[in-house]
Amino acid sequence: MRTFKKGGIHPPENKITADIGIEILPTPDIVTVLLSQHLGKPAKPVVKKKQKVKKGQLIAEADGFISAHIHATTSGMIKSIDERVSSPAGQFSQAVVIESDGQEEWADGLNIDIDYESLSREEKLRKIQDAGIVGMGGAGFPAHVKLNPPPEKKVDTFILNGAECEPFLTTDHRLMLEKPEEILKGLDIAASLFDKDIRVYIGIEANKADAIKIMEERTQGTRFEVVPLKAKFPQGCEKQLINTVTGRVLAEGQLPFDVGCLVHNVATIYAIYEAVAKNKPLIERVFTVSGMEINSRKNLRATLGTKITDIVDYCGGVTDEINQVIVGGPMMGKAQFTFDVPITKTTSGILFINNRGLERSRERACIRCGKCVEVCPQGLQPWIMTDLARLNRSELLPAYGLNDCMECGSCTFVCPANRDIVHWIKYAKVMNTRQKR
Amino acid sequence: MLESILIPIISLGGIAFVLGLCIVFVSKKFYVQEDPLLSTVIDLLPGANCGGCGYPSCSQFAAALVEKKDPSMVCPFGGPEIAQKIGSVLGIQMSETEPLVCTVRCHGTDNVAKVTANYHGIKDCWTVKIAFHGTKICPYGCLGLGSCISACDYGALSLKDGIINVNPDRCTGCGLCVDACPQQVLEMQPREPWKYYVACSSKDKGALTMKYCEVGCIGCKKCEKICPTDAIKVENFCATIDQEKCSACGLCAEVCPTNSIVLTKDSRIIKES
Repeated sequence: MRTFKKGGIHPPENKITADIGIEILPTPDIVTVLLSQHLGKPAKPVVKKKQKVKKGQLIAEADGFISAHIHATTSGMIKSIDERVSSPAGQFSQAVVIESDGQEEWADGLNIDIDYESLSREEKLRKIQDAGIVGMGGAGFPAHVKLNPPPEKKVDTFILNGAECEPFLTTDHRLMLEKPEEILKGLDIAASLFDKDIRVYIGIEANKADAIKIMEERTQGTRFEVVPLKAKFPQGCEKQLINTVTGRVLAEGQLPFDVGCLVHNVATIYAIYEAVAKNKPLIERVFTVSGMEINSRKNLRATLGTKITDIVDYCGGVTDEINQVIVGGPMMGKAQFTFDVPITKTTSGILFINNRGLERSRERACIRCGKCVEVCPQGLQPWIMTDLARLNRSELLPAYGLNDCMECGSCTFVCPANRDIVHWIKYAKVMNTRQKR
Repeated sequence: MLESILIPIISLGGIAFVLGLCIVFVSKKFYVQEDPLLSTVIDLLPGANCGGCGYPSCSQFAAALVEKKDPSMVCPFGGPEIAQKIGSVLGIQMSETEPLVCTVRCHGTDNVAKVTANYHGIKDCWTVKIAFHGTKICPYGCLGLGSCISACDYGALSLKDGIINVNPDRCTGCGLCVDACPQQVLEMQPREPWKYYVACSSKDKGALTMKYCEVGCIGCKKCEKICPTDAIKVENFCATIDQEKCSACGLCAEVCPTNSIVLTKDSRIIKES
């Protein structure tokens, strides 16, 4: 079984929802569509208050090169354009609030079957851009930018990321089980944007044996190759996946296309299929609702802009012992302080967790056990970085590979002294950008 | 017996004499011509090395002063008295400086400003700022984790009820805390005579501010209308007082419906026991 060379941990998997099929959450009466659901600049609204919109209509335009379009996720009337809505990422963002008319009426020319095979590369890219597709694994990098690397960089390997190494989450797993045909077609579309001899790999963690089986059956005799991966966190991180599948190593500051690779997540590829073959903009996504403290755990397909309140209501409410709500996976996700948060293009899961096993005791002194060095997938020395950040010497950290750290949290997970290692590294990153100002 | 005492005395004395000659020779040979002004200026400066002037230490500031003779260079801690003395030593007219004091443009203590979240983690305002917009609903107010406290060299700042308190007796007006604050709620104001300032920096509409904070500026413009010297301007639903025009009459503080206008002196003083 293949895996990446350095570090990694194996937290309890807790994939409770792996056998539960994707349910469709009815669109709530009011949806709050955030205008900052991606990396880069927030989109600019192009609609006005009281205006009628149809499902899939453009409501905000990408502002700049690294930005993405936002579409109306249901048909109805624009209730307001709020300046300040909390996003799951913890920041305030502009949002368009749409009052649904219950018709779910698509805008002209959307959600139709089209003959996509004859489209040229530019047309396909344009469709992906128009659909506002971003990396749905969590980073939210606009897909049309990622799929269109600078011409001098030759991409020879395309990897479909079905690792889903975060505990609890089963979004990509369910998608691969229920929509294998669509995902393979999407993969075909994405791969057709590059040279004919591009190698295409499908990386799936070994704990999803059924998904590996289905994908292997469907890809027999095609140019796609399924690569079973050892179940290890952070197997799904771009750099680790590239290292596992191709053996190539990304140096600090390098992007995947610098080593000739391109990685896309299963959910993104599915969205690309829908955009190119069905003319459907990205207005809904699949995510996992899990954790011990929600009454029914599900995989849901919901309209973007549905608030966590609506999801909690649909899933039968939360128990009294609830202590934390995390959007994303438990390792890299973000804790929320309110249910009044809409889901976005990058929401892969919502976890309702009690504090048993989560409460952190006091931070104690580093005992130099070296566990953090052992598990760091990037080969860094988290303990020394923490110490320097605590001593307010953050400016020394780039020499220790500060910018190489992708904050996966493996070091904090294993630390026996309970040190907030990742938090200190984040602090050092902020202090460094602040000093440059 | 006498020998064992005499030998060390003579030999050590001889070594000391030779080394002494060396020191004399070196100090004559490598004598550094120093501007006599420099030591005078260093003696005049407070010697606190606070960094408020932009230089790392008082002696470096003095060196820059002697070299450039720029009247706009200011020691914020020293004030006009020292500026005048330095001016007379250097033979230039120093520009007038006012001693400053730090004020907090937020009075949203835990009991008046609504709190949304429990925060566990590093006690630093900047980390909270990247994680989410603070533990209060108000995104403009003091985060209350004290990044400025560690920046202050004089112990003038302290944390009480979730916001920062300034002790004006200890504040030297160096302004280091202003840079340390991610929310930019700290503002330097002129010291005595004590005048009024607005202890809120919320740029939200009044109705919204009212919902989450009892002492926030709601932009009602009552103070702007009543001010006899036109010192108050309301922009973005938040009043600001021009300290140069303020006559400290106190009318604005009386009409303010949320009591968000206070004397700079009363910027949450904690009396020292």
